[in-house]
Amino acid sequence: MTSPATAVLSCRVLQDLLEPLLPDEAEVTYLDYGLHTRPVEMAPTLQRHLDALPEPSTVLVGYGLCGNGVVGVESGPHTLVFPRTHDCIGMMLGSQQRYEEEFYAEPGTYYLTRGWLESGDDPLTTYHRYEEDYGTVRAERLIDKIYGSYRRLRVIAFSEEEMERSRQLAAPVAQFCRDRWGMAYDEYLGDPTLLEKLIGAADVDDPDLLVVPPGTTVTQEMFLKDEDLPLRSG
Amino acid sequence: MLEEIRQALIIGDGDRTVALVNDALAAGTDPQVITDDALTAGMREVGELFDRGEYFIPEMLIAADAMEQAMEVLKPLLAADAGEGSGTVVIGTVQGDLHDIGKNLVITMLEGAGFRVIDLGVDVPATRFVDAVREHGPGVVGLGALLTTALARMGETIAALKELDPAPPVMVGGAAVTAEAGERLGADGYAGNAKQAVDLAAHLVAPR
Repeated sequence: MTSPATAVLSCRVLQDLLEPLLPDEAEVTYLDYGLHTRPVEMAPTLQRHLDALPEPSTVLVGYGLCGNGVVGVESGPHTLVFPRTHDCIGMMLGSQQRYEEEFYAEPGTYYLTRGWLESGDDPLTTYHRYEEDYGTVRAERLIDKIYGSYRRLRVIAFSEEEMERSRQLAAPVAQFCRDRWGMAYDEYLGDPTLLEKLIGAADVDDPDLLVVPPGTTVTQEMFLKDEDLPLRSG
Repeated sequence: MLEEIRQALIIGDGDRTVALVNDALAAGTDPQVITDDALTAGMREVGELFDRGEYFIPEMLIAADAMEQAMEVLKPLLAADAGEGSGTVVIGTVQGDLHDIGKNLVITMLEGAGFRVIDLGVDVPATRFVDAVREHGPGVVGLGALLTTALARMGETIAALKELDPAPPVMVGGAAVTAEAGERLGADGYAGNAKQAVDLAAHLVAPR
C-alpha cells in the first residue's frame, strides 16, 4: 500500500479468515458480529470508528452492503476499500458472482460457519434462548416464523480440518432443522479469494473491490451492478 | 378496554389479547374501532419501539403474532367492508428471497385497515405476480425483499407488471429496498415500515 496508514475495520465473523492474511503490524478493529441483525446501528458504529482514526488512512472494510447497513457511511478524510459483495456469504464463497450462482440455485439456504456455530448464532441455540426468554410455545412459534422457509442448512469451512470440527458442532443443529423443517444438510468448501484481494488491495481497479474516495458517502448503488438496479422509471 | 388490549398486544400476550378482544366485542364495541384504536395503534407503538432499538425482532414478532391471533377473531366481522377490486392487494416476497416476517406484518396491518389481501408467499416469480393480477384485478401490488441480492428480480417483476394493461400501481418495501432503489426500479411508491405500507396502499388505490 502506498497510503500513509492502513487500518482494517471488520465484522468479527471474518476474524478467523482475516488473521492469517493480515501483516503483523496491521491496525485491526473487529466489531460485534450481531450488527447484521440491527442494520440501523451498523453505519453509525462504523462511522464512530472511522472518525476515531488518528490520521487519514486507507481503511480496508470487512463488510459488504450488509442489508444496506453500510449505506450512509461517510469516508471523511479516509479512503475506504470494500469487497464488492452483498454480505459475508459472498466473501466466504470468494466472489459476488459465485454467491449469486449459489443464491439462485437454492435461495432457501441457511449458511453456518464455525464462527457462528461457536458463538451460538444458529437455529437450535436460538430456539433454546427463546425458550428461556419466552417459554416453549412462543419459542416454537418464533423459530418457525424465522427459519421455517429455509430448505437447506449449509456449513462453510476453509479446510478439511475446519470442516471436521464444524461438522461436529453442526450435527445437533442439522438434526433439529431436519426434524422440524425437513431441511437438507450440506457442506461447502469456502474460497478466500475475495478477502485476499481486499487485504492485498494491490489492484484498486479490480471490479471485485469498491474504493470509496475521501469526502464520499457510501450508497447502495456503489455495490450493485447495472443489472441489479436497472433504471426503469421515467 | 381498548387500552388494555393495546397493552396486551405490545407485550405480546396473544391469549390475553384475544380474550380482551372477545370481551370488547361482547360489550358491543365496533370491531373496526378495536382494530384501529387497539391493535393497529398497538402495532404502531411496537414499530416505534423497534425503530428506537428498544424492541428486537423476537419482541416485535411476538406482538405481531398476538395481532394475527386477534385478527383471526376480527377478520370475519370486518370482511363485510373489505372491497373486491381496488380494495384488494396482491403481495409477495420476490423470487430469490424467502423472508416473510415483514411482509406478514404488512398483511396483518392491511387486513386491519380493511384491505382484502392475496398473499402469494415467498420466492414468487414475476409470472405468478402477473397471473395473480390478471385473476384478482388488485388496486395495488406489494413486492418485498430483505436480501439485496434479490433486487434484480424485483426490478424484473415490476417491469413485467408494468407491461400489463392496465398496469397496477406497485409498492415496494423490505430491508433490501431504499426509496431511491424503488424509484429506479420503477415502483410507484416505497414504504419503510408496515404502517407506511398501509398508508401508501390507501394512497395508491385512491382514484386519481
